Amino acid sequence: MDLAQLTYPDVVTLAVPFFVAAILIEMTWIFIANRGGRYEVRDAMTSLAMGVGNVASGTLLGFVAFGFFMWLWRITPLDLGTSWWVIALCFVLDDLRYYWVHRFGHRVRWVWASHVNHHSSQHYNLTTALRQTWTGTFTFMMIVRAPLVLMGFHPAMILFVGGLNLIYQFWIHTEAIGKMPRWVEAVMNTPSHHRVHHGRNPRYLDANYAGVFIIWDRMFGTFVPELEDERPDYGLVHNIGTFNPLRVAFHEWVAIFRDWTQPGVTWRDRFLYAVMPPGWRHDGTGGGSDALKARYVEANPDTAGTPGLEPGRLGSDRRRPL
Amino acid sequence: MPLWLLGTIVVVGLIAVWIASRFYGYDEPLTLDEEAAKREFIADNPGLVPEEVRLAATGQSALIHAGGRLHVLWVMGQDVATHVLDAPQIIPTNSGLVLTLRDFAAPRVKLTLAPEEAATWTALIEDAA
Repeated sequence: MDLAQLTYPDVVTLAVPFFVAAILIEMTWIFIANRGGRYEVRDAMTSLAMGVGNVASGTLLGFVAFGFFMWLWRITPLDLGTSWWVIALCFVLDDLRYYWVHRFGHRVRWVWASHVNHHSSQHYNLTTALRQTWTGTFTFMMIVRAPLVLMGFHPAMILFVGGLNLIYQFWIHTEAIGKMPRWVEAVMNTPSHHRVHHGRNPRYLDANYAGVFIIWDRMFGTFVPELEDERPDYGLVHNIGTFNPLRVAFHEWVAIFRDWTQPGVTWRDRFLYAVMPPGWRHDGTGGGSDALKARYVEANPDTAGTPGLEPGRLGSDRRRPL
Repeated sequence: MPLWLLGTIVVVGLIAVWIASRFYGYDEPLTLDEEAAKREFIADNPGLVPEEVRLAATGQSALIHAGGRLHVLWVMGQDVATHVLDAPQIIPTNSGLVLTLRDFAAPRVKLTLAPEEAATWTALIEDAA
């Protein structure tokens, strides 16, 4: 087989009718059952507009990542072929890649600037899943996929399994499903695990970065279970006040630019504004999720050591507004 | 999938979701009382405690003193947003006030206020500046 011509179905595009149908079913279920989540028309339309923009930006800029992967493919001596076990292995390793890119997306502000829009909804429903970035190309996180290509996985296969990963993550953006059977919760990312990831409660910050397999969070120490007595409060630590998709897409990039151009910052500060976690300030007045957790534990000492608030997750409390 | 078909599905889907949202009443705005405004403010501003809350008669916005600064809270659909007021430009309108903020995400906040309320809020915001 000529691997240069290898193609796979564009599964995300093929899933669009399913996305639409599932959203309408979830909306109707919430209306009839009067539970299982919330919808707000402008929030939902903003999320869908972000989804459309994501597809458009992928169409316009996708050649950058694909071109980079094809260049790597030409220089690598390895070729694992296209058998089913290679595709399955590629899926698992690409999910590991997703975990780390997602973790960078929360801990490196340059990447957060792209990812923040996904967390900018105060709702958690199937439309939230489609609230995707328009600026992912500019994070250069395609580099994290380079090892897969160099190991001999064909770029088309990598993009194919990446599409499957994205589709898997659609259904977990719901409050309509409680907890899954224990073995599923142990291995897979589920609505419960991902609700935690979208929560802005201090204990839920910077947790559960998984795409498909929650085992990565368990392995790397970022897993936090959803507690029965603490429902996630969705959105950003400090929410943005807009439904305008353009502002949703670019607000954090603008914030970085403003931080760079403020008086008195050095080139080192500018670099750190891009690579430090969100909330970092050059004058020491900032504080990220670690400081927020520390402050929460100090105000609620009985929560110390409970999930998400273990000593290793707490930073220093700088006593200044975040 | 051909682009024309994908485009058609997307457009039909957007319209269907919009119609269903309106039909199911998912466009009803949140109305706050003072306690709810405090609760929402605290959730959006970890570490700050509201010292004084002035709720608009509509229940759609509030001025809140916290941490030695004045903040505005306004309803966005079924949720709220908040922002510290750092000498905003205040523009009177027929329905209340528009505040301009130094924030790319929320550069203008429209507040629906009765005329007397608008005058009081203007004075409070100017005093805080």
